Amino acid sequence: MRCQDCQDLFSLYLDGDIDQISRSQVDSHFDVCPQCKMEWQAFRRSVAFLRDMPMASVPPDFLVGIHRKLEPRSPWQKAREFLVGRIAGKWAMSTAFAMLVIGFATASLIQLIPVSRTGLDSNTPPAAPAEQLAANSHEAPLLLAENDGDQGGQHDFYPGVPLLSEYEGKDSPVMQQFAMLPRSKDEQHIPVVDLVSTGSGHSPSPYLDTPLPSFSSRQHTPVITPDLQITIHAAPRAEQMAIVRQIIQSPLWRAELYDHNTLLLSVPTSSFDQLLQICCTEKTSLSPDYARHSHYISLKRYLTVAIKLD
Amino acid sequence: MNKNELNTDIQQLVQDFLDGDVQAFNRLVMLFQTKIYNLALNYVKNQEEAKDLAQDIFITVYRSLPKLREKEKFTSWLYQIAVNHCRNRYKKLSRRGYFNNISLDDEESFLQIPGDEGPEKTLQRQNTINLVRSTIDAMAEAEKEIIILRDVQELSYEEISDILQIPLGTVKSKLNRARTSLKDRLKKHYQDL
Repeated sequence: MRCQDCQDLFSLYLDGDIDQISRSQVDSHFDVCPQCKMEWQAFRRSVAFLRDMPMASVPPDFLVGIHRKLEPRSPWQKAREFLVGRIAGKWAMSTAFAMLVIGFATASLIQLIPVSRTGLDSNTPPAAPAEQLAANSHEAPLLLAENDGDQGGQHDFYPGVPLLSEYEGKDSPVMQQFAMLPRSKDEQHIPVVDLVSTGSGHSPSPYLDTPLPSFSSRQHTPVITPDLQITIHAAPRAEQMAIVRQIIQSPLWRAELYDHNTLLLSVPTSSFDQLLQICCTEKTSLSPDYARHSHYISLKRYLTVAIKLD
Repeated sequence: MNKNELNTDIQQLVQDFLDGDVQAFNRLVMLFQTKIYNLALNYVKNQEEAKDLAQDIFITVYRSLPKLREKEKFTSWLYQIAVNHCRNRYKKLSRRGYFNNISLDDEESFLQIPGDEGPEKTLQRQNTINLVRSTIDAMAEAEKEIIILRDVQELSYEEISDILQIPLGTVKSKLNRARTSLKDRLKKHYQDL
């Protein structure tokens, strides 16, 4: 037997899948060829190493995962899982890097582009109708929200509306109109305040037991009918503003600007007394008047209150 | 339990599953999950990826089992699906450059070494495992595949012939070449083993 023939049979010899005659020939060859015998020992040893390799254990949730994958999924779910898997697993680093680069590029561009005042003016929303402006010309319109950085500056009540202090001056007529103008035609409608749901004989509010919906989606919601109206008659503007500030800055309720003269509040009934403490002075009036007594309105969880400036 | 008894049990489980017993499928998974998971691990070198791949293999089995004609060849059929899935996933990941970022250390951390030996023996065994594994990884794909099916997965020549769809004689000669290649590569390191 030649050495190569002998070594070609190593695998079968190891597995015992060899006939008796061939086995005897291999054994005889080993007796006369120490080189082939050494090769055979190395062969056997290397296969033994391989067979001795430990197996990794299966993750504990393996079977559960199979059944989870077998559950029917909508195409939307599949697409979402695909995207999440890609972003979380494979592309996390590259996505983070890309975001970083985009962030730096955007920041650099913002630094480079000069901010012109005329450009800002052209971006302001359409001005109020001429007759309204004419009526207001003798008296500067009163701001419900100044977004004053000095007092209560930590609250940005109107995200998206620039802080007045960021621009030329607080008394700029252009910016005052910008802050006060309604954002769409629907919002020019003054809320109706003749319905109160607190006593018998009154129609219930459609917002019974629900907080005030966000103004950002006002186009899709019906016109809000407040449960009561509080009118502030304080003569000097500073006094009116002081009351309005107290109302706006309270964390007990949510305040939204309804139009240039009206603020809408979503007040939890439990906090109504605190609102009365702020508003019920000789310089305010309530409609209906009996709402001054909170026990009339204890049936509701949230009250929609219109704060109007006289 | 010898191999014949095991095959009889497997055939019974397959039949039970085809008769509507879902638990029989779970038992089939339990029987093969370690081997299929480790087969997947040999291709993709990452536990999460191997888990996903092995689960996909069993899902294909679940959906295709009613089409299996020769119930007695379930093991070969299962491995045929597994090897096809593994090859496809390996190609897909290779194209993405996935294997360029995997280090051998990551790959070995999932292997369990029996802890009842002393620290010196454990370290020596860990070194042997590392060496054998890196040697297998360096082998040609076809050699690696056949040697894993035979010496790690402990499949018979006939089963390997069915899985790889090559004649029995070719299996024998290819296996001998693969084992000889392993021996030649490991021989250089025998003083370290």
